[in-house]
This record gives sequence, structure tokens and C-alpha cells, in this order.
Amino acid sequence: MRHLAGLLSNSVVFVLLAAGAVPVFGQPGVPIDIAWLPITDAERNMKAPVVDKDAGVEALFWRVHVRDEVLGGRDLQRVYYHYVRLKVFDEKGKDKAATIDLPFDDKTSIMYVVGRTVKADGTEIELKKDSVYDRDLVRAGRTKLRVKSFAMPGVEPGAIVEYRWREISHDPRSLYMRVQFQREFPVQKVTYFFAPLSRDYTDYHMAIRPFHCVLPALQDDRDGFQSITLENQPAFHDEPMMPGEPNVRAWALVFYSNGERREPDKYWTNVGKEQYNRYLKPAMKANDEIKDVAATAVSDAKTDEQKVLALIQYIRKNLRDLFGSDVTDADRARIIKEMPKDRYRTAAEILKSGVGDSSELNTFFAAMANSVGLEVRPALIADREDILFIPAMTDQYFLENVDMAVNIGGNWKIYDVSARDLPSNMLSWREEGMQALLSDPKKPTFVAAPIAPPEASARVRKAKLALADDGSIDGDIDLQYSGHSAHDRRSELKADSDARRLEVYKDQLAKLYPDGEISDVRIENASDPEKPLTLHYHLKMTGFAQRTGKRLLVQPFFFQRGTAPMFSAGDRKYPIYFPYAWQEHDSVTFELPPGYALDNAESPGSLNFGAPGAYKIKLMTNSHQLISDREFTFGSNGQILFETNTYAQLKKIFDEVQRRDEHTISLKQVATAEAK
Amino acid sequence: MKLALAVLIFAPAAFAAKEIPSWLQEASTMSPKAEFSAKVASVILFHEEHLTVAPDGKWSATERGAVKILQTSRHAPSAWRPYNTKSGRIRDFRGWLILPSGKQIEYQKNNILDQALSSEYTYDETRAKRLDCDPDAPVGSVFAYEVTQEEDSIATTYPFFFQESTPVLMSRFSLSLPPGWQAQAATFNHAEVAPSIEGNTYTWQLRDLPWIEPEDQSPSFQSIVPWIGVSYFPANPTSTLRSLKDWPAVSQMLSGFMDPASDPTAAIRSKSADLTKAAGTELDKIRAIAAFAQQTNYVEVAMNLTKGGGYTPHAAEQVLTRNYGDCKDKAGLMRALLKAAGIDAYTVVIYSGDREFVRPEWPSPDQFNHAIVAVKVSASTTAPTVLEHPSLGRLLIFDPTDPVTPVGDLPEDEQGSFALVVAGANGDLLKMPQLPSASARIERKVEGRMDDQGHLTAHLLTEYFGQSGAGMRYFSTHAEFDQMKKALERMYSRQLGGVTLDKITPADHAIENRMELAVDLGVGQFGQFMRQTMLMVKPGVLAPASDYWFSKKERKLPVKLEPRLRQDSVVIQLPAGFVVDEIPDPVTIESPYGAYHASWKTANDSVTFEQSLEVKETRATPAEYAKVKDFFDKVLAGESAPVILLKH
Repeated sequence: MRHLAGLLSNSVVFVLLAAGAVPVFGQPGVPIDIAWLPITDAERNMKAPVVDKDAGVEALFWRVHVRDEVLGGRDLQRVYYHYVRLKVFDEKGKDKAATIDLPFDDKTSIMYVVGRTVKADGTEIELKKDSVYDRDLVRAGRTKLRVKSFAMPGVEPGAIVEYRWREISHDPRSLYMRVQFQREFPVQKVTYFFAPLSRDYTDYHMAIRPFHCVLPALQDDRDGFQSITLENQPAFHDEPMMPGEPNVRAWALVFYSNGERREPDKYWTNVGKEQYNRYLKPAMKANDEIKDVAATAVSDAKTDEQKVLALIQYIRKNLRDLFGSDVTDADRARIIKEMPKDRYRTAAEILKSGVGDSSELNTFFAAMANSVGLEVRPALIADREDILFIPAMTDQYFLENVDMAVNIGGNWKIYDVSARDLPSNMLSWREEGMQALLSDPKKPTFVAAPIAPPEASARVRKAKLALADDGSIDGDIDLQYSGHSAHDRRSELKADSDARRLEVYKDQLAKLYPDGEISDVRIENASDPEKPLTLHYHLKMTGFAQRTGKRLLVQPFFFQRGTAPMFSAGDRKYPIYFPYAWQEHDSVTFELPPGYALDNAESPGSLNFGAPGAYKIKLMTNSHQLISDREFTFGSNGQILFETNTYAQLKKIFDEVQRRDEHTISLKQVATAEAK
Repeated sequence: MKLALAVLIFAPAAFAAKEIPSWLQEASTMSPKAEFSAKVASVILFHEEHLTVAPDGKWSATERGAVKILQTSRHAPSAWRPYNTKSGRIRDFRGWLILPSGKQIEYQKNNILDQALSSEYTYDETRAKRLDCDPDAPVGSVFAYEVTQEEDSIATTYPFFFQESTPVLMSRFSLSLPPGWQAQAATFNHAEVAPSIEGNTYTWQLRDLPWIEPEDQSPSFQSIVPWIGVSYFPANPTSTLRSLKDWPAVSQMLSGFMDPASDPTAAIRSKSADLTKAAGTELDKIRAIAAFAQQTNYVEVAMNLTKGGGYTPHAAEQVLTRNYGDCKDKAGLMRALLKAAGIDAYTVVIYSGDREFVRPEWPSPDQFNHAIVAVKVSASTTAPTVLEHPSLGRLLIFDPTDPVTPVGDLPEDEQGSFALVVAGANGDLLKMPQLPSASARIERKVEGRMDDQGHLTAHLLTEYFGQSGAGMRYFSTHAEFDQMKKALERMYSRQLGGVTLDKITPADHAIENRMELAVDLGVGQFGQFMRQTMLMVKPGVLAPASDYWFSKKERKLPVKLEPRLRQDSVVIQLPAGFVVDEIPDPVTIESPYGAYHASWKTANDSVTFEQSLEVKETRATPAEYAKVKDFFDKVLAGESAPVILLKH
């Protein structure tokens, strides 16, 4: 996706070259890692991993020299010289070290791949040049995804495997560089060496911002490089429900800086003004066609909110999402190729092409909204799966996406046209809770994108079921999903025709209820995110209640039957981040078979787990019915992020909820007269 | 209709189809005789592949297709043709979209994608060209394509599948041969399809092929859909362009590719001697060499396929030095090491993944995707995977690519499969050994104690014999312990609710081909107390036996059951003071699909559950489906049957 960071970087290139004013050449070339470093006796004799005792392979070191060069006086190129030395300890490590894939794209070249294996007995086996195979994964237009693949020779436990390669980035916008300290296997020593452009070209210097690690200061190293080293970095393994990987993994952002301390208020004010004036204002300009289209779209709207809704609905109906499923790979490649490289496409260009990425669709929305008299400001916002942004992170790099803020009755409300499967007043959960910078020609400000309350993403389920004395049930089920809870289901359903989606949903239900017969399936509002997604079906199912000699065992919480606990792992490394707050409200009525009465029945009881939410259940009976009512709320007041040290408590809560959801009620056959 | 398609429709003349080909003109008028389920998003009106073979064996294939869109769906039609980058090319690729209005649009070249066939293979020279239909093409549109591929190939056999799951109105394969050449075909999953012959062009065709809806536990689609295996015979066969009239001919051809690589060199002899120096018997030698071949790193190689590269291993010494190779490399290395130790062996080609795939009626190397080894053994070597052949003698079958299946066993999907022993003119297609289900049984013993709050602590000892332990063995040797723990936590959580795993101890008894896994676990709430006067426990959930479940939907495809055997015993010490009120009656079910026995007993404040399940290898017809489902429903009911106890 083309985001602001790219445009920002371009402007830095301009600054750099203007500051330099020297037309040719960059750093003098110095040979970097052109030979294998000596293997020490300690490395050769190492019998067990150092960082992780269970690791089958560890990197003894991972060193990367990064050098920026100016070619021909204008083109910036960044060259990475990678050198990895692995020690293989056992069979599982052998598997990991045996084949290597180096992925790259069409703006990157990978060259000079060399490798060797040094066995425990000292035998050396070189990686043959013809064993390095270049594969294109996808080729459409000029967009390529490629990989250099090779199998390392002679890999066995005890061996040292090392390989080097050079990676050249031709992307002039790549001035921001993420350097990783954690890999797929543990690393004993990670060192980055940086050679920025010299003072001949820029007054800027390289700055480093660490994430989830503590970095020592840059050290002056040989040949004009500065280096930084971290030791004993464990392998990175993801966990379910964790914050986005960059929010937990050890890495650093390396970028050019003029060294000035950025005072957040001043910095963001400048960014907000510049982005508005330089890039977004021209892009948001509406031509006559856009004005006409907008005027028609809002012709029935009375209030500003209605106008916003009408415009959003128009765009969602008439323009396609560049990265959506209704654009073929080939079309996507062609459109990206035709995009201007140094500016946003204008609203008129977006309308003409009929397709846009998320930022472009929002830009187009702004053009339409402006033309019908709404006050609109582009809102630069972070993706929280990427960065949990706070304004103290004074770099526009972090504000990846462009939404639009509209002044509704004196308050700025943020909208994202591209969040197609959500109501127009909701943002993708990846942007909820983030601070958005409202760009403005005069006074940019930050506005918090709210986390939608649990009730905005509700799951309301109702069942009215007749329970027979053989344990079978027969009845109607109604489901209603809204907000984020509807999003994924809606995404799945909306691509199909009405008839097809019914059949597909029937199949899903058949898997859910293997012993069920499904009929009268209805789906409403699959394509209308402004309304709750509504599903209905009739279910006849044998074996729902378990029949013993004289009892029927029934799970009154019908919708939770057979669900697994939310968390299974005993321990946890990273915080727990629920994507969004949600609420479940389930009510189930069982008509009981004649001749049965409750047998030692009790309710497992409600749970109150404090501010994040609650679990409230009621079990009620009368002479012929068993009624369950269950309400589960989680993420109230935006509490969806939990520190690692609360995991045990959180797991306990969800285990307890699951246990209560699985609660069984016993019904016992009684004498007919008694039953009456 | 959104703008993109509108752009396509109203674009300048470059987009508009000049004139669609006559075959498409004709195909686009076809319509299905019957209505399809709404799940059927499209129907193939016409599909044709025409293979034209030149006297030197090179061929060109022209594939044509016309697909009518019946329902809006997330799966728009797509045309796709693989080719070999070294020996072949896609000469031409055209595509059209005919809108319901009759408007005809021709796709431009930049709509054609070029992509790697596999993102997995380290070395792979096969690619594919792809054309996607517009996702917003309206219902009633016809998406069509015509693609011509050229290959410089040595093959003289060719498979053609008349359909996949999408319904097809007309499916056709044509073969044009040089004068004097002949062709024949074997038909599978359908009554024989006879060709029409005109000059030296053979044409096989089928009409009105139904929609095949994928169903769980059904045979693979190659075992269901109609297809033909075509063989053509050069007028003057040569050593490179052969007539593959029978299996020995195929064997002879493959021997030419495979045997030279397994000649032992000095390095091979030295390694063999080193590996076998402590081996006392022939079987010990084989085991030592097999273990070495197994540890050789597996690296996928798909190079030079059309020139026999798919059958030509690298020289054994090269594989030894690099310590990596694909299946045929590993087989070749093992043969060379055995030969150096004085033991002859053959490469065996087989289809990995579906034991029903290879059909004896069609002698063709195209039926195989994997290479294993047949070791010629003396009478002193006995193992369940030894088979006797009248001329090749006693053959011990072994797969060196499988890193966890020891000598004397075979991967489950290879057992019972037809495979070709590559032994020159003496080669033969043999049915691979199939081991009894007892050799792959699972036995679990559980001893647990439940407190008066319903918390259970239990020790689970599971023994996996033979192939049942392959997955666990791979996990314990190739995954980090933490990964294994997390996977087990997930599995037990799903079965039992909130669990804690206190101790996990895998133990590999490789010589006995037995894997053991001991787990100490705690279950937060195992039984359910009701008013502290009644207790319900389901001991069977600690030993779920069946991994089959079937829905009530009407079945159209056969049901394929793999053989299984497991025996379980669960003993749970209960909190004191409860007496049995209800206990399930023993269950005994004998059916053509398997046998299930379960019993529950209580004594001395404990409940004991014992069960055994044997699933018989079965291919049940759709008519039998209800009976198959009933059997497994009863098994599931047994596993989850409760014992009800009352406070004394």
C-alpha cells in the first residue's frame, strides 16, 4: 500500500541532495566482509546453545554492514552486506539451517551469495555458485516477488554453516530502515555497521530509535562505519492475541536526522501543515465531475452526518479497493505501475480509474465532502498492528494511513471510507485507540480515534428449541452481529450471490451441527454494513442432550456448546491485545419434554472481572421450560490490552467462563402424575 | 457493475475483441441441460486440449476453455497453464470475456500473470501463466481462453482429466501423431471412453459431467473424476523416444536414468564401511545405511523435468558430500551405500499421498511422484515390509525420505500402493506391503485423581506403535520442546477445557518402532458437581478414540476409512462418599467398518473405563453412508458417556 511514509522519505532525499550540492560519488568503497572470518576454537567446540538451551541451531553472529551511496550524483542506493554464522546442534537445527531463502522485491537486488559449511572434523564444503537459484514467485507487469534459494551443503549436527550476501536497495524512498535483532533462531551476537552518506552530501546523520530493546550508543568502527551490537537475542515466536509483531519484537528504526531535538507540539504542527498544504490539499481538489457526483450523492441528506454517510456509501458502491478481492493481480500491478511516484493521485484521477488504495479512497471522500460544504481534514493515523503510536514518537514515518476527519457539530469525527465492511462511523480495529494527526493549514491537532464500545460489536443470539425425550432438539435460531463482530462474517459472505451465500452458510452450519438438519436459512444485510448482519435458520438435531438410563443431560448455553477455552498455553511471553471490545448476549429457551423435571440443578453463577467486563448468566425454569440468558462483555472502557504478568489471571477468567458455559443441567424422569 | 469492468467494456478498440474464434462462438451458445446447486459458481461449457506430437517427440498443446459464470462468488474463473522454463514455453495465451449482452472483449497481454508453480521448492524450474477473469464479471458472462504450450519432451504418455469439481458440458482430448505412430488409452473412474480416429488424430470426449462437491473423508479427486492415461508409440522407437507398452518398458527407461547415479565410488565405499563396521547382520547393515540416508537433508528439486530430470538422481557421491537431496537422490545414495556393503537394491517409484492413485492398466512414469528403495535381502532378514517376487527375490521396501519411519515399516499412504520396482527389463509393478492395523495401534493408559472440587490430576501414558507414532516422533525430534508443549496444550484444552501440563516426557523406542508420550496434566474442572449431591464424570473424554465425524448431509461420494486400532484404559479415583447411580451399559459394536467395545466399572471410589476401537480400511459407497455414520456416532457416544454418582 502506498502511504505517507514514502512521500515523506522522498522529501528527505530532496533535502539531502539540496544540502549536499556535490554532483557525484559518495562514500569511498571499502571491502566489507569479503572473506570468511576465522572460526575460533570456542565456536568449533561449542556443544550446546548459549541463548536458548532447547535451540537446535543458533547464530553465533549476524552482522550487517549498511552503506548509503550516491550514484551519478543523484541516485541514492543503500547496500546491505549480510554475514551469518550458524552453529548446528542437533537434527532440528539441521533442518532449519539446511535450506535458505532470501526474499527480495523488484526494488532490491541480491548478489554475491556465498556460503560454506565447516563440519565438526574441520572439513569445509563451499556452496557452489550454481546451487544458488533465483526464483520469481509472481511476475505481473513490473511487480515481482522473488527469492534466492539455496541448500547449504554438508549440514549436520556439530557443523558451522555460514553465508554472506549483498542486498542492494534501489528504492529512493527507503531512507527509513528497520533493523531486526530477533530472528527465527536465537542469535548470540547481532551487529549492525552503518556508513551513512558523508557530510559532502548532507548535514543529516543517522539516528536510531530502538523498540523493545535497549541499545548501546553507536560505536565508531573501522572504515568509517559506526556499529551497534546486541547479544543473546532469543528466537522470535509469535503468540495468539499478541500485539502486532513490531510491538513486541526487538528492532530499531534507523533514519536520517538533522540531530535537532524534536519538540512534539512544534514538530507535529509543522508536519500537519506541510502534509496538508503540500500533498493533501492538491489531491483533495474537486473538479466539476466530482462536484456533480457529490451533489447527487447527498441530495437526500439533511444533516452533516447524513451527508457523510451518503458520500461513504457512494464511494463504497462505485469505487473498488486496490487491494480488495475484486481487483485481479494483473490489474493491481498495472494500476500501481501507473501511479505517480512523487505525489498523491488527485481525486479526479482516482475517480477516473475507479479504484484506489485506502488512503486514496479517503482523499476522494475529502474532495467530495469539501464540495458539498463539509469541513474535512486528512487525519494521519498509525496502524496499531504495526506501531502503538504516541505523539512523543516524533516522526511522521509512524503515521502510515490517511483517514478523514469531518467537523460534525463542532467535533471532529474520523472516518475511513476503505473500511467497507464496517458501519461508516467505525474504524478498522487496527486504527482504534490511536492518536490521529489532523492536518490543517493553520493549526494541526491530535484527535484520539476512539475504541468502539463493546455494544458496538455485539453478537446477539437467540434460540427457541423444543427438547424431546430422546435428546433431540427442534427450533429456530436467530443471530445478529454488528460492528467488528460482523466484519469477518460479512467479508466472507458479501462476495457471493444471495443464493450462493445461503448454500455456503448451510454448509458451515452442517459442519457446526453434524447431527443437524438445517432449513429455512435466511441472511439479511450481508452487504449493508450500516445494519446488523442477521442470520436465521431452523435446526433439527439428534443427540443434543445426552440420554442416560433415567436422565437427560442438557447444556443450557446452547451457543457455547463445544467451544474451546480462549487461551491454552500455560505461560506467556508477550502482552495480550484483544483486537476489539465486544459483547455477547445469548438467550435460549428449551421446551422440556413431558415427564421430566430438574434434578439437582444449579446455576454456575455470574462472574464479575472488574473494569474490562462481566459475565452474567441466569438460568430459569418453569413447569415446561428451561431458559438461559447469558451476557458476556469484554473490553469496556477501551480495556483490551493486558500486560504479560496478568496472563495467568486472564486465562483463569476465560477458563472459568468456558467452564460455566459448558455447564450441564440434569433432567430426571418423574412419575407422570408428579410431572403434571 | 463497478468502474473497472466498465473501463474494459468502453475502452478503445485495442480492448475490443476483433473476432472471437469459431470454437468460442459455438461454445458460448451451449447451455446446461439441468440446473445446478447455487453453490456451483460456474459451468465449463467447453474444455479441449489438443496435443500435437512431432516426429522428434516434441509436442505442442493447445488448450481451450469456455466457462460460464452462474453465480457471483469469491472464486472468479481463472485459466492456468504450467510450463517448463528450460525446455518449453507458452507460445500464445489469449483470453476473452463475453458479456450477457453479447459484447465481446479480448484481454490484453498484461493481464497474463507469470508465476512460479510452487513457492515451496528450493530448486524448481516449472512456472505457470495465468489469466484471471474479472471478479465483477456479471452472471451469464462467458470467460474463455486459448493457450498454446510447446515442450521439448521425451515423454510418450500423457494424462488427461476430463474434469475437476466444476461441471463440464463438453470435455475433449485430441492427439495428433506423426504418420505410422499409434496411440491407446486406459480410462479410469468411468466406462471406457473409445476414441474417434481421423487420419492420425485420436479424440476422446465426454459430455455433461456433473458437479462434484468435495466431501470429507472421500477418496482423492483423481480416484473419482474420469480421466484417461494416453500412451503413444513412435513408429521407430529410439533409446530416448520409447514405446512404453508395459511396465518392464517403463522400468527399462527409468533404469537408464536412475541406475548410473548409484554406482559406488571410493568415497561411498569408505562411508559404507564406516556406517556398517559395527553391524553384525544384513539387517543391521541395512538399518545403519538407512538411518544415514534418512538424515540426509531433504531439499526439493524439480529441474530438467521434461528431459528425465524428474527421474535422474544426482551422483551418490555428490549427495553424500552435500548431505542433501530429494527423494530420488536419497534413494540413489542408499542404493550406492548398500551396494558398497554387498547388498543390491532397486529404486522404486511410487505415488506419495494417495495409495489408490497408481493404476496398473496404464504403464507410464507419469503416475509417480516419489522414489523409495527395494533392498534385496536374504532369507535371514525378516521384516513386515519384505515382499517376495518370483524373479526379483525378497525385497525389503523402505522410504529414506521419511525421516521418522524406520526399516521394517512404510509411510501409511505408501502401504498397499502400486509401485514400480525399477530393475531394467526385469522391473515390475508391485503392490507395496500393507501392515496390519495392530502394527500401528495406539494404547493409552490414564490414571487420575479427582478432588471434591472437580479438579483432576492425571498421568496419561500413550504408546504409539508404527505409523501411528510417526507424527509424534517427528514432532519430538524436529520441533522445539516449547512448540510441542504448546501444541499439546491446545489439543488437551480443546478436549478437556482449561488444562495445565505439568510434565511432558516423549520417549522414542525406535528399534521397537514405538513412541511413548507421558503427560502429567491438571484439569480445572473435570466432572461436574450438582448441588454437591450429584457428580457427573465422563472418563472417555480422556481417551478420544475416533477422529471421524460425519454430518447428516446427503452423501454423494464414497467414504474412505483408513485402518486404525486403539485401546484405552482410564482409571479415575473419585472423591470419597459417592455411589453410582447410573453407569453406561457396556457397548459392543461389530460392523463392516470396524469394531468398538467400551465398558465402565466402579469400585473403591474409582471409575474405570476401557475401550477398544478398530477401524477397518474401507471404501464405502454413498448408499452405505448412514451405516458408516451410525457406527462412528455410537463410538462418539461411547466416548462421551457419563457416569452419574450420588453422595452417599
